[in-house]
Amino acid sequence: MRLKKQHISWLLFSLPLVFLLVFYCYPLVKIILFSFSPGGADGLNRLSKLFSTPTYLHILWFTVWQAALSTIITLLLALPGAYVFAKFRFFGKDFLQALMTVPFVLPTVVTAAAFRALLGSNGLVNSWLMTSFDLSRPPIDIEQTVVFFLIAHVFYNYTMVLRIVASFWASLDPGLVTAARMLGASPWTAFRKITLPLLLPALGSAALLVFIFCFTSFGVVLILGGPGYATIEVEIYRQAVQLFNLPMAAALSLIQIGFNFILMWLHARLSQKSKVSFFSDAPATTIKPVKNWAEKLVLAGNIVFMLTLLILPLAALLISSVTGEHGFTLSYYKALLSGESSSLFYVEPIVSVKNSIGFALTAMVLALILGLSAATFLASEDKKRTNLWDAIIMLPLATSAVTLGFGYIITLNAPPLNLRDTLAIVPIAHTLVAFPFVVRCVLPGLRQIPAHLREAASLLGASPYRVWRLITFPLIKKAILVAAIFAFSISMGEFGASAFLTRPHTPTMPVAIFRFLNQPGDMNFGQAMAMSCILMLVTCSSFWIIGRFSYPPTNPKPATGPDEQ
Amino acid sequence: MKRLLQVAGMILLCFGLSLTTKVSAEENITVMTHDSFNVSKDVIAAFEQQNGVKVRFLKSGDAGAALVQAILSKNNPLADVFFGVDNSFLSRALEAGIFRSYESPLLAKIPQNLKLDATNRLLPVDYGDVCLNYDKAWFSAKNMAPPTSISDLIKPEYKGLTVVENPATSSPGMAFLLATIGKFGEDKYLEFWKALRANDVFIAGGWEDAYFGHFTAASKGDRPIVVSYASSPPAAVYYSETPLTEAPTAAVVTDESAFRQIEFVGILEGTKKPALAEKFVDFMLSRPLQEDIPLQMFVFPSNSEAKLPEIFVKHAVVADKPAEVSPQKIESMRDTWIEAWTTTVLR
Amino acid sequence: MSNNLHHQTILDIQDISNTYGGKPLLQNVRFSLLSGEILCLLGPSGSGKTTLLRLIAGLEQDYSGKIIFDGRDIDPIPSHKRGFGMMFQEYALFPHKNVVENISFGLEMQNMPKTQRELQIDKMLELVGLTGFGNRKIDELSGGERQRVALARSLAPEPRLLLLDEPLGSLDRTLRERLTIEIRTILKQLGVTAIFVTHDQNEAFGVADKIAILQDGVLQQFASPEHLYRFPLNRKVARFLGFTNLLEGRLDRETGYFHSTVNDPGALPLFGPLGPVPRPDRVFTLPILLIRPEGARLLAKEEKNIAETLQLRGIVSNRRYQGSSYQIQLECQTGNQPLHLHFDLPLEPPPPPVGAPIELFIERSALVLLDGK
Repeated sequence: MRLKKQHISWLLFSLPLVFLLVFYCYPLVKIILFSFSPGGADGLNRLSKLFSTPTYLHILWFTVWQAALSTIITLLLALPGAYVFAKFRFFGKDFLQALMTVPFVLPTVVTAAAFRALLGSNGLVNSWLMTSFDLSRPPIDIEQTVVFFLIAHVFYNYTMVLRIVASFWASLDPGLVTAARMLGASPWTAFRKITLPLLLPALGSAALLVFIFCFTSFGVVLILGGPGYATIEVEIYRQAVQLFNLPMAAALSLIQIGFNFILMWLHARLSQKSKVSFFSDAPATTIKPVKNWAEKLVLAGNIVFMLTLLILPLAALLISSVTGEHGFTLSYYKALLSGESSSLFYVEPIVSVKNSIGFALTAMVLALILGLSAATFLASEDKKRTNLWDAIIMLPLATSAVTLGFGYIITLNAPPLNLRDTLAIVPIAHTLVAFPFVVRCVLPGLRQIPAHLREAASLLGASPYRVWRLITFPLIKKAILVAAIFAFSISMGEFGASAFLTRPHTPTMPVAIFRFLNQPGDMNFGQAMAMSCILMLVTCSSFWIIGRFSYPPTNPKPATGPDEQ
Repeated sequence: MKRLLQVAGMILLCFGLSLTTKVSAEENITVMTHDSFNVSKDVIAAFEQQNGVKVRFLKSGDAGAALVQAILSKNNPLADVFFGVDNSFLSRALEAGIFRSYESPLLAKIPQNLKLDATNRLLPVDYGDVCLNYDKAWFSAKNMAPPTSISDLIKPEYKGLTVVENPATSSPGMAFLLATIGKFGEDKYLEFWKALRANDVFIAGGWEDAYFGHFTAASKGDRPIVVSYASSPPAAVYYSETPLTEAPTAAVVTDESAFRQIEFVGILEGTKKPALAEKFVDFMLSRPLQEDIPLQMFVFPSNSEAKLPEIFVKHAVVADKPAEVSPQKIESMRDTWIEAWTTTVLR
Repeated sequence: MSNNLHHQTILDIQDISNTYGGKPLLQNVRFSLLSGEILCLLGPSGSGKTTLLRLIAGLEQDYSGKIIFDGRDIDPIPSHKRGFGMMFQEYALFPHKNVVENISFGLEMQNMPKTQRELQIDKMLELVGLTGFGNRKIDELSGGERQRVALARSLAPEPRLLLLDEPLGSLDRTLRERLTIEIRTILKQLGVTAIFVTHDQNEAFGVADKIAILQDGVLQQFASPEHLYRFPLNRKVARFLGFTNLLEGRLDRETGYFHSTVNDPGALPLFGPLGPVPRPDRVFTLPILLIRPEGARLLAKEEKNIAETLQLRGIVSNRRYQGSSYQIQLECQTGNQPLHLHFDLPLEPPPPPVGAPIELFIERSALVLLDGK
């Protein structure tokens, strides 16, 4: 009996499915059942407040609108950037691209410090404004306002939208816009009527990711938004950890999951309706150098914006890592690298770099394997039937890290899955968050590839594996690269989940940063900043290396060279 | 991309090998604790050598999260010993029944007021007073008198000078709320907070944010008064970039202006190595580790025989009469108090 | 390949049926193909011809019946091991590979050594007239050039069976006509057995040895192009081939005379005895008379009174000049409604203008009797 196509794709899908069942569904279901069981806590009466006070409705409402607003703003700001990155070749593109992904890995506390150094009441901008215009009070006061954490959300997610959309945009046939222009459409109309609808799959994917990230935002809202604001994620943490009200935490987790599930299902349904399957014959040639003034202006405008939004805070961070009480100093770096600490938990920078990269690579490889198999399944099956799966795969992203972390404690506690206190749990948790991400990055591109290309290859004698390797893979390479970079970053930045896991002390870079920020003293703060800069440097160079390996610079034709990505 | 995968594979292999080599056949004892726990290498090494065991530390998030995880794993504990229950969580920990009692001989050397558990299931290891810290330079530059008590904060001249942490999300924030409850009483503390709110208090999400984000002595912030620890001034000296003879900050520990956080250690019920666990608890209460505590965690050792480092003697203060709220009261009222506080201060 | 393979059945399609979304698509299709033959699957869109092609290719898998190739049931063989070649409507050229890399793909899959591969690629490029185009990128090629690359790519691995799915569909007419001839020449030169899917009968007539007419999933007729044109089996086939002059009627078995039933027989302005109508050896329950459009010319004056000639009278209601001939629409006033018939007339003598009466001479061989069901 020969393996039918459906069987192969289900076989592929079984990999992520089993992973989800074991590391997501099972722990989650068990902790929720445990929380609601009469013996688990005080039982259901601790839930009464959920319905009797409007507090939780307010929290849900706040969570939704801040996420929606963050998403819209990020999309609007990132779209011109995506255009520039998809269409033009310019000096320093590679570098800018690597640098732009750095925000993604920065711990929230560090981001907050960076923004304060820039926009705080004593920050660079305010000081400059005060001295230039002779003001007595700082003119910009956005501390603990919605504006502050909206900026932070944009800061974190801008690059993600830009890269997902740009990699997709570059693959669209430019002939379509030309055709529309020939039919008399203005550039704006052509964009609105042709490009925008064609971009929808990628835009939808990016928007969904941003929304979920902001929806489950924990640190950003907690620190930058101030105590007046709380997302459901923050409230779950408070209920579970501070008040030990597990039923309430479980109920809120369910609400969070339910809300996001509906959203993701709707997204899957909508993206099924957008029947875009136009694939440029040669994506690479759509990228061109900047020619006329208008293009130069667009390019310059976007680069200035990126520098302002992304690079200035990072520069402020760099400055604070070399500024002591009496001006310029390298003492933080010296202390960091000297290794003079008696602490058992002292983090030797080089060790933390090694550990961080090790975890990140493990998570990246796992996430790519699982994500690509899931995406291949979703792309090959009938779209209608995959709506549900599409949404289910995304659930880990929308699930409270606290709840899941506690779920691990009560489930993964016996052989063969006695993982709860091993190091393996860290990359597994990271993979769980990173692999839905990979799916979102890769799926739009994958669905764009006409079935005929694969069929042609198959009839020319290529086995399904070779079809994947020689046809599918090269055509979605860019999207895979983006996915790989973000999977890597998610792990590098120690995303949420791992804070609530029990694990042997393994110094990663974020752990090292937190260790310094735990205690008073300017050496601690300075070293935290220095460590953050090392994190930036390591991240940046990792991306650069990943990029180099994927697009070797020895490529004969500059038109397909590395600078296009 | 193929090359990338090959390189990634190589690195992974090395990483995997380096992880596996760490596993040794030696007998070991596992200590579950929170992320802020810290200790010197040689102190632990001494214990390991004496007893021929390996000490394994599991870090499980903040103090609250670590305790919840310990409670959840009650039936199949992850560790032998748990360190890091503080008095605000004490009652919850005892109620959960996850600890076994142990009459350590070293209890004799610990002052009575630190022993909050009569059954000795949780033994005090260290304590620290959460109180106001102020920026000395700021006050002398402005020619203003620094605050001497919590009550000062609502005076008009201190308007807009204070940053405190949100008790809902921060452990020192909760401790400070408890200090105000202890000082003003359950019926009056909200009035104080109302006045403090009117006096433009700034609420930060956590200690890092308050201290390194808003406190003038440690950041570019604009608040010279912060809720921190009585041991923060010596830490500021110890971790100063340039050598200091005097602490840049000072702590306010006058009558009932501080709340004492006591951290406890306990042996988990269900440990398979009770004798070894007891040895480790003894060790935690013994002088080598107790004397290591101040400079590693910047709190005071519970063992009265432990000698304090010079920097503590010089710059640290201890509250003679901290505000008092019993652990039972804290556990039963926490939700109510935080809610009342949130309503008063944030809405 | 040589000609000694000819006249040997290579492909045998046995009772193929399948459904799509619960609806039957192909119904008991059966035919067989000799080695080296070119078969055209001809039918309107939605007739199931592409599905049949994909079943043979192994790209679709759910069907009943058997596909025997070279004596073996090929159902268990996955598409990449069948050794068939396929040309797609949009060519499906790999956008990330250049011309040579595209052609080389199938050879690489066979693990052909490099030197041999290069020889074969050069041979293919020469065959399709693209020598020197090897390093071009796909988007630098015109439609016709892409089509040739696609052909070269599918021929390079020397497939046992070549499947072509509307390979000329998206090209302009002149190019299409030229390429139709070229494709046939190349396929015959190589002796490849091929199945060519198209909806265009001219293309089919130009390229095929055999034509299979598919309509609504049913194989209507399987025949050589000449036979098909001369003897369309039924109304569906006739209509699909573009015949419009179809008259329903009754065949008198005794005399072999045909009586139109739509129009009052007496009113049909067809003069002269219809006589025995040439027909395949079949009995039709509901016969239809087809008058092929090219079987008419203007009636010469001296022929008017010859009794044996078949004559048709009416009014020219439309006249279209089409280069090599005139197309005339003839309107006959019969009974209640006018009857319209179409004929292709030679250029000389020119037919009368629109509105003028016309008299036509009908060749007896232009009459075909077919099944009206």
